[in-house]
Amino acid sequence: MLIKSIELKNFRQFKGKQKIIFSTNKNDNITVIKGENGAGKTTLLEAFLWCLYGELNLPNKEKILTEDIGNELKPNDTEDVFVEVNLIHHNKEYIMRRLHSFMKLNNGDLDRVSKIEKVLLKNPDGTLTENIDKEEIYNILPDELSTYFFFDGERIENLSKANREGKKDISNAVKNILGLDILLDAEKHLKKIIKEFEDEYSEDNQEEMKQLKNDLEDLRSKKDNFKQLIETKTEEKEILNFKIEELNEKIKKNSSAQKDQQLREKYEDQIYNNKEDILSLKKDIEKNNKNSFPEFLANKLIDLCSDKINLSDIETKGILGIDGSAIDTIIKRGECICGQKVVEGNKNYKNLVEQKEFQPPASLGTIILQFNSQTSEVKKTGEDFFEDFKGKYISIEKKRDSIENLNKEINNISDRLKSAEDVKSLEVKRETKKDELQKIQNEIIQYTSELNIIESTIDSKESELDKLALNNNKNNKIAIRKAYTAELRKKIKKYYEKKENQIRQDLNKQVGKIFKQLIETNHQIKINDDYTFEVVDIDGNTSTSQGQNVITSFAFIGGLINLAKDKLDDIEVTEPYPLVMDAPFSKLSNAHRENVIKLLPEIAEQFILFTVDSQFDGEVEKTVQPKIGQQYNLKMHMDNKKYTEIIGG
Amino acid sequence: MLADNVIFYGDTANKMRFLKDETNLFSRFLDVYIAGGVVGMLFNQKGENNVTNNKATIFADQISTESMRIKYFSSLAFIIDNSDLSEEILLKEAFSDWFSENYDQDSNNNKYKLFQSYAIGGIDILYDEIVGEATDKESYLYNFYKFIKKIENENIDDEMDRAILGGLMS
Amino acid sequence: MSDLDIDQNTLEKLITKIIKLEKKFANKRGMLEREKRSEIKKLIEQEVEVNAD
Repeated sequence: MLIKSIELKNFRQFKGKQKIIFSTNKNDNITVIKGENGAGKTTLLEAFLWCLYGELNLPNKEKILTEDIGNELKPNDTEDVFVEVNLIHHNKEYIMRRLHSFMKLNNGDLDRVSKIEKVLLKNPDGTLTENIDKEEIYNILPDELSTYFFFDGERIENLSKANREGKKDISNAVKNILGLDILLDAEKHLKKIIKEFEDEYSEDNQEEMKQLKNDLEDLRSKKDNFKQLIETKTEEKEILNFKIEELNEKIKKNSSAQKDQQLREKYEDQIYNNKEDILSLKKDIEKNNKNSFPEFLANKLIDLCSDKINLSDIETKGILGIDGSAIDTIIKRGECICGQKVVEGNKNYKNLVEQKEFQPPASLGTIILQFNSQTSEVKKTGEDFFEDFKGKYISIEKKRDSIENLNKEINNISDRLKSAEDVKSLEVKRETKKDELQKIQNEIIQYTSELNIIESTIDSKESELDKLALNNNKNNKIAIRKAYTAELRKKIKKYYEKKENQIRQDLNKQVGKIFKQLIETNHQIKINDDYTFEVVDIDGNTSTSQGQNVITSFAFIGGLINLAKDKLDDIEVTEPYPLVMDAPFSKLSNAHRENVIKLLPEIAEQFILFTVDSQFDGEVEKTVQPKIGQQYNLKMHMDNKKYTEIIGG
Repeated sequence: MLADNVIFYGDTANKMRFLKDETNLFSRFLDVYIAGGVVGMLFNQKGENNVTNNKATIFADQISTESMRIKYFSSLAFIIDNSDLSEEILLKEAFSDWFSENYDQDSNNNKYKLFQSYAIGGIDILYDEIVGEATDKESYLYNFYKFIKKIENENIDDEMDRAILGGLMS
Repeated sequence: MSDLDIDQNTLEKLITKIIKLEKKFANKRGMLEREKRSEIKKLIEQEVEVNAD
């Protein structure tokens, strides 16, 4: 799909009839629209979306008629607002027209008196076919995917930092492109149905069931509270992190503090790693305790036990694995496992009958064998327990010491930085924020552990409830249905996650590929499961820089567009698509700029770039110039009321 | 008997909960139970399970995941506890359900009930040793280390040793 | 609840039917969540009833 033109009449600040014709030419496929902030770039984008989908995302959205025009109307006069968009798709030209008529009432208000939305098809001979189904526009560019072809400055910024908004942007994209909202709905419904089944449990006289249900009600609302708290605190934490980052940047800029700041950051990383190690060691300890602590203790008792009964004596008489009934079977069969005949009275028969005396339940010798062999297992398992634990414990202590020393060093650095005149106040601010951050992190840890306890209590109470419920036949049926419902939910969730992963991996690949082509140096982008990312150099060290941020955005934008295109693509034809965005060129280095220009054709086939006047001259213009097919200016007029005039073409 | 839920009440339940949730040393109630049982055996400390409203339940299907271990330790407990029985009866009672399911259920209960009562005593000891007066996770870990170090250095050669150790521990 | 045996065939049949239902719901703009849930629940009761006998 390519955008051919947009024509506006009296739409918000665009007074009168104004038109922009976009370049649809393959080679110079860039249309530049210059305009100061506030000149109407956002309104222009919104006009496009209003025309196509009837939605408007601006303040005072009922007021679409240009204010000037509206004021000048006399009672009973009418005036139109329309936006007409020409699109080219599959070599066919579509015209989408949306028109609203307004009449001035006697009391001075404006009333909408009619609205028209029309889709027309322009035939090769120039004639127009009317009454094309509106659905066609939705098929060309669905509402929810339109956002992947329009990127404003703020979104570009968010994508480059993978902050909360940026991550949400991408995770929503994955969700939209996945198009499996039905599964999400099913999962949501099934979750509630499980609770509905639970409510159906007949309690009869069981006070306990009633109590459990009440408890569960309480616990579940507590759980929601904690979840909400954790979310809120996590948001606060992110904001704080962002602010601390900003302060770090400022402090870094100061040359005398730079080295210290870098050292401090290095120490902070080391502290983080040590803390992670400690957590993992503690988990190991817990696991070890589960597997060998009782055995370690039992070891001490083994001697005591062997004091009481002499087991080895009895041991030799039994044969492991064969019991009395097995011997009976062999005798009945008349033939032993080894092939020899067993007949009443013969040697084999006599042996077997004798052996039977020593097999359970006739004799305990076999059992003693079993017991002794388990005892040796216990011995083995318990032997290493202490040394294992000791090793881990010492590691933990060493790491804690490390952390303490590093903290001391960090405090020294912070003191030094505090006394440096030019960064004094910044340092103080930073430290305050860090304290706040620590407090919030502690709160999050506390809430999370309380949440875990609540969740496990909920699990055990649910089990209890289910078990009590089974005491009654009617409940039995309900319990079975509930179990099926839970299983259904589980399966659906699993499937959804599998598909989501596939798309995420696709996105990773696309983004990585584009990033590699744009970046001058040997950096690579590494994207995580939660859509945070790192840019790493050859040694695996993280790096950030302004220009790099822009490259990162482009890589994400390119990746998202490819995903969206994949979804829209027809099997036979590779359809071109446009990209409408705020031009970020001023932040790029020359080399990067050239790479971006070179790569643009691979990301989209048509570019509509908005730029603030001052950004777009000199060096930048030179690089981009050859590819500009059309150029416009959004001129702001500040006479009576503000309005915008489109100049150029 | 291994097919039933195991329930602890009152103070014991509270201590179990604390050991499981707050110390990062035990993942499940089941782990506290088994460890508690062997600790109780080691120091000859038993306790009584008085039914109250406050309880901690270990469900049968979880018990079945460790049934071999519980069977072993319970048999061990029985052997150690019943020195006055004749060898033949001792063995019969201690191992009655090791191969056959349908052995005399009632006498079967004894060793499992015994293990449970050791667990109650053992959980008391674990709580006192690991938690005591401390209030933070670092202290719990350190106390645990001291506890097992003490045990590592002990050797129980006879009943008297165990009795003395038990006395020192309570 | 390990003593409840979940029949995989029934489960698979149910999943298909439920997803089909959800698809139907997606096209019905005015339908309340409550109504959607009750239809799904009825379906489960129907299908599982047959096997529980």
